Amino acid sequence: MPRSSGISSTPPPSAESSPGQPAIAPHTAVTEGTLHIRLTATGAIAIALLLGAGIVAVNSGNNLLFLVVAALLAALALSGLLGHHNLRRVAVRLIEPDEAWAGRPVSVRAEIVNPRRRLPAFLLALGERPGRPAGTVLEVPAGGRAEIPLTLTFPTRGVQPWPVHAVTSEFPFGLIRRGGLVRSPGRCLVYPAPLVVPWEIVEAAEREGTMVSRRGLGAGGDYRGQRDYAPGDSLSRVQWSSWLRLRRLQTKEFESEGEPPAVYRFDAVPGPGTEERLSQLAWLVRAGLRRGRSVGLVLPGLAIPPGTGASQRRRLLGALARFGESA
Amino acid sequence: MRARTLSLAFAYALCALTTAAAALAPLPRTAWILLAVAGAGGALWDLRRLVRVPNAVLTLLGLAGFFGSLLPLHRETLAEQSLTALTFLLAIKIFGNKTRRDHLQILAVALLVIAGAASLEPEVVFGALLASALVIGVLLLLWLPFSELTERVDAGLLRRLTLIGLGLVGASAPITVLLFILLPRSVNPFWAGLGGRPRQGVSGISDHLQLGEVGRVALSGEVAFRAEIEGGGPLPLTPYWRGAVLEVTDGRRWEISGRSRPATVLAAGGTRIVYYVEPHGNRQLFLLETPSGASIGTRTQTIGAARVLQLPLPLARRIRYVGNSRPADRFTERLAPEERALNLRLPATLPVSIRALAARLAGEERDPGVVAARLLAHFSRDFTYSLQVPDGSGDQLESFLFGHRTGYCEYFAAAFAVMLRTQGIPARVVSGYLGGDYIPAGSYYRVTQASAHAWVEAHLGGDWVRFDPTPAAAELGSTFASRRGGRPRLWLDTLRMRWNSWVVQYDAESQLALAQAGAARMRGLRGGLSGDFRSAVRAVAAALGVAALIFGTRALVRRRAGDPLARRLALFESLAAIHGAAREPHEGPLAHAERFAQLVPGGEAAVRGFGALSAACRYGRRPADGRALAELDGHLERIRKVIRSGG
Repeated sequence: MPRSSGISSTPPPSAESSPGQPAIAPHTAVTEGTLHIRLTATGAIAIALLLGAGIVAVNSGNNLLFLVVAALLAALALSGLLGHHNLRRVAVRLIEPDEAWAGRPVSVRAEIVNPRRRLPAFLLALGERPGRPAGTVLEVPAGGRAEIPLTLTFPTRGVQPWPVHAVTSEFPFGLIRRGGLVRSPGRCLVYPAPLVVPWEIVEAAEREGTMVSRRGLGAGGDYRGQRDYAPGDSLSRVQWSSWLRLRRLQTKEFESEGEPPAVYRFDAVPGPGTEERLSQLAWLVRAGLRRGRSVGLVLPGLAIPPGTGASQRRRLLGALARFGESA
Repeated sequence: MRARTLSLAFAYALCALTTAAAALAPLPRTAWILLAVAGAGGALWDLRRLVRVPNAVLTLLGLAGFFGSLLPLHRETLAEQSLTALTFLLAIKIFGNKTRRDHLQILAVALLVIAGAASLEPEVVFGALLASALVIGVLLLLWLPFSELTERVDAGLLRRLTLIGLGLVGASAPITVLLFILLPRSVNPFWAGLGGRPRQGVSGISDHLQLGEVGRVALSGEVAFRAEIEGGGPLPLTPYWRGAVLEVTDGRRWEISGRSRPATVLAAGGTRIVYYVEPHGNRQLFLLETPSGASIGTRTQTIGAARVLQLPLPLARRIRYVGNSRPADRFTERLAPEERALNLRLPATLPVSIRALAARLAGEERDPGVVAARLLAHFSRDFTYSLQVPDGSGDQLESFLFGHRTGYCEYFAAAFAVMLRTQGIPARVVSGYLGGDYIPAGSYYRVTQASAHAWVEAHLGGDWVRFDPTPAAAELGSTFASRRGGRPRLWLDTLRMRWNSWVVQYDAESQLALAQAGAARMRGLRGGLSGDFRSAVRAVAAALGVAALIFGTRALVRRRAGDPLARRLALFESLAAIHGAAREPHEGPLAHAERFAQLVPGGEAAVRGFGALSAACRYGRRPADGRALAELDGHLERIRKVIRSGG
């Protein structure tokens, strides 16, 4: 399959589609958008040459020139139909990135699907505006899909709609650019732009967080207690004496050996405004989790207990991104 | 294969076709040599990646060649000069760097040169060259956008594009034919007279006849003209194609009289024949005997009492005209005394022996018809038809009649006419063509120079009666197909004929005739349809109407489907996006409208109005009913107007 740089086109995965008919529900059909038809610079030259040939033909009575003009007009007319058909049922959607930060460029993949059974779609260009494509895919085979990488920048945090983008094609002759201005379905969760916090404030915030939290569970630390056995627990931590006493298995729990968990409070960061505070908290959350600490968050009306891992990171940053949404 | 190499291959294929066209057309030899050298050099340099000549130098050379070919301008050779100038441009383009735009220019110039060359030499081979160039052009146009985006050619993609290209060409063919027929032709094209240098053909027919002249061209296989018989053929009798009537003679040479004669009112009708005559440098045109009328374009021609058709100027280009004829060997004409005297005048130096021979053959017979028959019979005895006439001493006719007794049509016709005149029978020589090869596939006669002929008309009992004293006359109309032994040649000639009649000669008159024929056929359909057929036509029309209604309604419903407010919002947003105010992801409708309004001076109220109303409908309590939508449409229309007016 021919590729332009960073652009790929593949047949659809069978799990996502009925035979020969990929699912297009989450995509926006190009023809649903506002129609865009423009003559390209090459097209303008071609039309001028055709007009010139027509004038010479009429004035010279040269039937061969009439034949040329007639053939080119016929080809142009049919190319219009072909260009229209090239975009028929072609749909597009933007795929949400792992992380998007307000004010920072984020790389997004645009997926173009061609659900037609027989006809490939050619020369599909995608960009913020028609005529300025971020990428062009040469061919999307019938029933196939292709991806074009895009770079977007969301100025503010929150759950944001995708910006309008142009899907166009100059197929077949490159004389006319046609397509549509479409908005991809779905939305993108944009985290607040991280704002660096002075170190003393970090310390103060972490001290304050420590007072309201306990160390997280782990190994090597102090004994915390016991709980009912759960499948998967290490047999070395099973409290066998409980079996004799209670006739049921229990597992011992210990605190982690590392740094204590940090809980960042909304009012512990300097701000001054709400957006700045959220940005500072985003920076603190990101830095804390990177250092391997267990991180929690206390926002007005919302408290998230400390935790680690990718899901905790998404939960914390998502809460910061959505802060104030319902207000 | 590299993508660029494929684009170059298309460009060089176009160059090769143009070189062939320039070589086949009557253009200066420098034109095709230049193209060939530029093509070969450019290809070598493109493949070997040698150092190129700087573009500025090439441009200067191209301009010098272009203007050098055009200056000084000559009206007669303007077409050749223009085409040569274009070949200079093409050579420079082929030799230089080739961007996408250069490829387009190469295609345009190649098509212009081939079409222009075809106008100088209207042969079917140029049609083939042009069709090939158009196919290559379509493939090139298809490939060019891809060549800019990929380095290497993917075989599968190329195969699919080629199939699409060929399909496009195939589907374009009927539309091309329709457009070719319908594109308006000018009755008097402005530049028509600025064509190429007139072609000088060879013809045995002119306004005079010199003994020995026809013999020089009789061996030529060149086509003199083609005659298409309306309603099909062949003609029941061997056709005599009348060219010139020669009445004045000095014994060796026969000439037309040059007398102006009143036009005779002729009976209309007869067989309609369309003639396509090759340029021959003389004024004579040809008509099947006996002609009753002729027209060139829409202009009816006077064929006069002599029943011949003459042009005011020598024929320099292929011409198409229509003639009506009634196949017959005689036609009635009252002979005025001075015309009778003209057709009885004998050469001053006529040998006595010829008079004596004619008198002896006539004997005591007084009936002109019998006398003519007796004189004619004399030529069927002991005379030999040959194009190799021995040199005779003294009078050529005397040598022919009494010496070697060998000659061809001119000798027989001249001797017979003179002998008739000695017996007081008005006679004249008619030159033209006899027979020709009937091509059934095209219902036309192909008449070559080998069929050039001369015969005699004698005025008997108020009629001009045709006599053909040449003994081998019947054999002159032998068939082209059997003689050359080639069905392919026959098909090729049919192709040439059709190319000429359907393409090269198609003009405003043909368009008019076609429209009239179509109108007549429609009238015929209206008047002459049977009841059943009319019902069937009505049923088909009704079915088509219902289908159109269903599809139209479906399309309308589809168009109306969806959220009408969302459609208007999308339109508003796209208008804003195109004018630099794309809605930001975080932006609310009112803020967006406000920002857009700043960019549309004069349309602020409409933009703000749209923003407020759409927000009220979408997020507020205002229902998106017909009134609101109409109001939104009004705002959109005003915004569009302001944008269109550049406000």
